[in-house]
Amino acid sequence: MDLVPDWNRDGKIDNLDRGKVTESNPFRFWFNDDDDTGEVHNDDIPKRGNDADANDGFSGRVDGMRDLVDFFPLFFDLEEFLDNFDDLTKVKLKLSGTGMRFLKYEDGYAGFAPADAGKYLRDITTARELADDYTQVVSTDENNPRDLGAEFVSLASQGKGVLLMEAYSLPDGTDAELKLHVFVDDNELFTYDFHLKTGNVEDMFLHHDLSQHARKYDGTLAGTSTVNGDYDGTQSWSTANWPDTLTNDKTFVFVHGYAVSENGSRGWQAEVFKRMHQLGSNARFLGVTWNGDTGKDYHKAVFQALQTGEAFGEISVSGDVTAAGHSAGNLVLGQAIQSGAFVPSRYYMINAAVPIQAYQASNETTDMIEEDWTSINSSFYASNWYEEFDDTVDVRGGLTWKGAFELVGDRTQVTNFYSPGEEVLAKLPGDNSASVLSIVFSVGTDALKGRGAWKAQEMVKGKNGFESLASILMERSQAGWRLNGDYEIADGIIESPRFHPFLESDLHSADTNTGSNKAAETSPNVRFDLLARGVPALSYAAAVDAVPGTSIQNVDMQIDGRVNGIWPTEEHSGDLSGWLHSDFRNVALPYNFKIYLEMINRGDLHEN
Amino acid sequence: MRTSFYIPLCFLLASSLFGQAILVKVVDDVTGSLVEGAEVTAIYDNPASPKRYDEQIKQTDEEGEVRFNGIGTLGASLRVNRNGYYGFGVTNAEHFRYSSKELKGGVEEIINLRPVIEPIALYAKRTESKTYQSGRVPVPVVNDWCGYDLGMGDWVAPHGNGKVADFLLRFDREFVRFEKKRTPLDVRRKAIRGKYERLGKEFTEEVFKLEAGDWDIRLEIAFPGEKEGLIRVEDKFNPHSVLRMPHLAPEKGYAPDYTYSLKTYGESAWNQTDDVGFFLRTRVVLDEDGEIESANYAKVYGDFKIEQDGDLSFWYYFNPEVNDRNLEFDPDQNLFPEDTLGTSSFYLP
Repeated sequence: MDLVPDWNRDGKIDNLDRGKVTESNPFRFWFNDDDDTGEVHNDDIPKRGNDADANDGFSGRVDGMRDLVDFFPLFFDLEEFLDNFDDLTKVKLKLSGTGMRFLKYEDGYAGFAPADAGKYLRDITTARELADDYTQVVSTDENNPRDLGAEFVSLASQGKGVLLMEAYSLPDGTDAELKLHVFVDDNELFTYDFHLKTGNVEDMFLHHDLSQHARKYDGTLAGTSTVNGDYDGTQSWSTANWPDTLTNDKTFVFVHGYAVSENGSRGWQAEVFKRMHQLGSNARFLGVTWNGDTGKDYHKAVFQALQTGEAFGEISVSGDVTAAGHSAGNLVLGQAIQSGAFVPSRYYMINAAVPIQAYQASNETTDMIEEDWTSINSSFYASNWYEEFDDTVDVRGGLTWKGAFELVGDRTQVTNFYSPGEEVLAKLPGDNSASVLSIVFSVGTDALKGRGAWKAQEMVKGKNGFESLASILMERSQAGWRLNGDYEIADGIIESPRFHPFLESDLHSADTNTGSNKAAETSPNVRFDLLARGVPALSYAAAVDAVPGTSIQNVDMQIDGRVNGIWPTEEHSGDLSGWLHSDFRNVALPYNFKIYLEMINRGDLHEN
Repeated sequence: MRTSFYIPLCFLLASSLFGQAILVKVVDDVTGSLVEGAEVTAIYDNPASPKRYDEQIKQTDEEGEVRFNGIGTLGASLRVNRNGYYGFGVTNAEHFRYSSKELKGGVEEIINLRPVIEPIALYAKRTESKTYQSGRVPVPVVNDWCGYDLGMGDWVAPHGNGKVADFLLRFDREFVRFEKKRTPLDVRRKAIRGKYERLGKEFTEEVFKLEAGDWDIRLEIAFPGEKEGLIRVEDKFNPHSVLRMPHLAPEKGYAPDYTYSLKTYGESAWNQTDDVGFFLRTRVVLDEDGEIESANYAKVYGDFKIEQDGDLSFWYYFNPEVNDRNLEFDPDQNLFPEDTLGTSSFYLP
């Protein structure tokens, strides 16, 4: 007889998992203290207090399919023992302990064989069956343990004694305990201790805060927005509940995207950690927080992302490192890798809010030219102004998105996880008017998240409030797609461009030194300012398309990330029914687990 | 798949005055008959409205027609469903969308809906390589013919375990020059060498040329037997339909070979698409008169993708039943054993 968890988290409880748990090497899991609901979209921020409505560990049920990631399977291997009884009604299995609950299967539930112990996270039908089931608390009174019921005894006798367990938060310093009590004819025959250690999920991974590297153009600290909730400053991260001895020599670094508050970044990191962990990653996990929480001024977030990338070298990791970025997190990582500040062994771009031309210069499309400019020669665009300069002698020759991250594929093994069904970076072919697209900005109250929003922010670059209402949301609108009313062809387009000039007038100097020196300034970083605010991309983003060429591999998440194309309907109706921008995290794991397995397998992150 | 048909003047006039009109006629793609009772959804995208999407669902009348009117400041999309048919513009098919410019003044559409006729078991696979579930498989030799066995899903011996060459491939490449990039070549060499070292792979000058070079690539597809061949499908390839290609492989029209001449550089770089397909006729046995006695049929979705390092990917369906031209796949009946690489997530018919 034995109590066996899925130690290696491969979805099967088998001989590889036996004999691993000891008193000195307990099974470790996290408190279920976030607030999940349904199948899609929660903030996943842990430590939600003691309110049963906000803290899933106290709710008394599975809080929707997204909550299943906060459970672990435990196999009660009692088949041989129970074979000794002709009448199973004589046997009772009971649990006592602290800080634990178990999922109470509905009457008649068929249960799991240990070989299927991971089905609740890998099979949508199974997950749906369990998604709203009740849980029961394990009795804290050893003298009055909780009965698991006759049906579970029956399941255990068939070799299907797998129970799904969750941990609820305990006062600091309290170790969770779990003890099986086996009763026959109401007499306790024996007990069996399962050695367990539970704790805060934020004590299972590392964290690094780079938000202090985001500066305004005047050099002052960018500060944090309170729109999405404050980081309360009292949280700490350690690996006390998942020490390095339990990891392999690899590290997985995760960088969140735009419009994520400091507090929100905790949710992103905790959720991605949990998913990678549950599917077998043994890599040390490091979550990175940066300041991209800039309200609707997306250009500002880009400026801050590029600054953060430049400072990424302060993160101290070595050995085999896999980095993953979501959305604008890829501006951070792209700049970090391009500059050489941080060079991982492999790099996953997830719904990357980065123009494809930053990696592959030949991917321009006329559909990214603002409507007012379609009949104007392309050499007059702010996007192509850099061509006026020899970049070997004049830094202005580098003021372009084209090839801005061209070294990324050279330095590291890159996989682009993209989704043609995504909304925020949708192509919206044929719609290229800044004034029309600017209405996308009216969606929502806090950030630029509507369908076509990325294209819209590229189209409104440089526009004024009369041309595009959205431009008034941008702090430093310049150049871009705004026509220059004072354009004089005789002056040449360096000094008098067809587009409205950059705010830094020295950039337009005919003197190479003056112009080049201004473009080279790093405090503030003039080039980052211009890429973010004044130089429009001329290609779609990597989030919606494969990046051609050999240096970047591509995975279409709509094909390879879904199981037979099945996807939730919650928050996915009408034109938003595909793999959306944040579905990598928002959608419950049973729907998208394959993409996490793909990430784990590409880096062999499951190795011991 | 867009075809004009007559729209009453008053309808267009009304549309320009009160919104943007969409007139849809749904036709059975096989019989050409009008489809009554199809559920058509028009979704007008209007970010200025509180709920953004004005989703209207209506059924086609006895003429197979349905009319919509709405405000689509950022365009509109269409989807069509009917029992017994493959969906159009739905999940697992490309969305069908009008831009705001196309929508202006009203539009009309004939949508050819493909019926469900006889979905069958087929060998269905995407070529695979080292990765978990997606990726590419290298062509085993450069500038030499090698055969591929669609039923085995592998190269034929000596390059794999395949037994019958359904088709032959010859891949060749020519180095043109190093890519023109801002980063100096010595910096790129150092970067790529570092990547290979971190991944524990050998770095050579040939590797560097493959990573940093401009290449001309040639991929030839041919067949070992007479009257075998392929047909490139463009007009009849409908990315908006869950069933992308016609149900049956044609009886005639097969070409003995097909050649891709690709460049990795310039404006026509990587000029390949997923919005075409191929029908293949293979394993042909001729009778005494030189007529086809038996053959097998297959289809391929998208172009055969090839890169300068020889990584190849293609997505195919193969019918092992001799002389059966039916290529309408039942996704629940993949003949490859479960867990065969390249067969997961194979949900398109």
